[in-house]
Amino acid sequence: MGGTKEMKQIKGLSGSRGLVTGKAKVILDIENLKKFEKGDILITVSTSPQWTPIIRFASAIVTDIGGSLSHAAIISREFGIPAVVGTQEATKLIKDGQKVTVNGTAGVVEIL
Amino acid sequence: MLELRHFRFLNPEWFRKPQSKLEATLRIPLVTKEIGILALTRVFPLIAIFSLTIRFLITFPIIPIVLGVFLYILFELWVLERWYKNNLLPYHIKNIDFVNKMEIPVDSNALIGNIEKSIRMSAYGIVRIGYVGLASWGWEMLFKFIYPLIARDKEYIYSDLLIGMPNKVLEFNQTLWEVANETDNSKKVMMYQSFLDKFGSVVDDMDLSFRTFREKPNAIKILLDLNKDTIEPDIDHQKTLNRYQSTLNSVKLIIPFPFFINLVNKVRANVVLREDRRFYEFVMDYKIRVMILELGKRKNIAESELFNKSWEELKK
Repeated sequence: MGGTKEMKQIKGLSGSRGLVTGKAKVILDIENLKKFEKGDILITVSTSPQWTPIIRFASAIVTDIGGSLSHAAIISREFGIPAVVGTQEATKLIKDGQKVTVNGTAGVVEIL
Repeated sequence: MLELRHFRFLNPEWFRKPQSKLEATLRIPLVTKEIGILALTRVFPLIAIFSLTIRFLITFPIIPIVLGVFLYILFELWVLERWYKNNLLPYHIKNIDFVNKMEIPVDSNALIGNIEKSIRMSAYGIVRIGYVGLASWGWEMLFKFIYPLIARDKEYIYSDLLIGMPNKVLEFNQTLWEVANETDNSKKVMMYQSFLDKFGSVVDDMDLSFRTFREKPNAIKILLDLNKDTIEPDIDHQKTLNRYQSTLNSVKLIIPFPFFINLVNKVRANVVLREDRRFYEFVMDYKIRVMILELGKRKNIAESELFNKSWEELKK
């Protein structure tokens, strides 16, 4: 397997359709926004209205908790960005700065 | 003891963090009481009326109750949006104004009285506004079920018809952007204060121990910086509205379009309440926290300890 990178897949639910590859930022609390940059993929436990302004600048969202009617799903559909929700463990498996592909249509996140 | 985590089945996004002792002993008992009042004054009487009416027609023992519950849900789906807009929200807004205008009295007993009064108002609003969720979630679930039955095209995405609706969260976003992009500094300060007064009480979860949005200045500063020199949210919203229009124009149906658009409008009007509700439910939290923190200060209790105390301990 020399030189072949293993690709890890995290399954969740489709929150909002679309496909995006980008840099992940794991943010567990809105007070730790300092590391977030426009276009990052937001990885968090779940979102509430406090998170809406940051979702606007994310290229995709991945959450541990939530379903197709969750706040993260509704707001990402509104902003037209992909979202995978209810992954249970994305915040534990994905590390800051990792390149990930979010397939909001299939509800799958791939760590590249 | 009843804890918030017991309500997680209603919405797993909420009630995630451990509940503080103060929330458990101050607001939760009143929330529980209000749930009981709502059940006794609205839910059970409606089910009883529908069940007893059907009982006259069907004598079989269980069916009238089952049909009664079903009719009760349909009835509530139909009326809750109007009840929310015409009765509940105006009443709740009056309560919000009342709490926000409350002075912080010098007398600690009067302060305790003010906290208890505002908590009663908060609990009243949380329970009833939460109950309206039956309509805002119910209509979407109903639409999700009905749409495949009436759509000719099997490549439909029902949720694309539920976007582009104005709501309080998007208004919050737009106002934040306006503050960030204001060039006149004196005007900016006023706009910022007005933004905090209007939207600063947004919470992350239902617990008075959690700081409200306006108590997180670092996060607000970063959000203001991110918003600077970006496209106005309202322009983005227009794009979403266009996506909705194009989806609506492309649907192929087995029912006449006027029936369908009436259904879509009804669903949208209810779904829009979802974010609206969340905004109004906890809008008193900031002022209540200010009063509680003041009480803690007078009793020389640090913020880190304050919310680990029961209301009875704090009142002593």
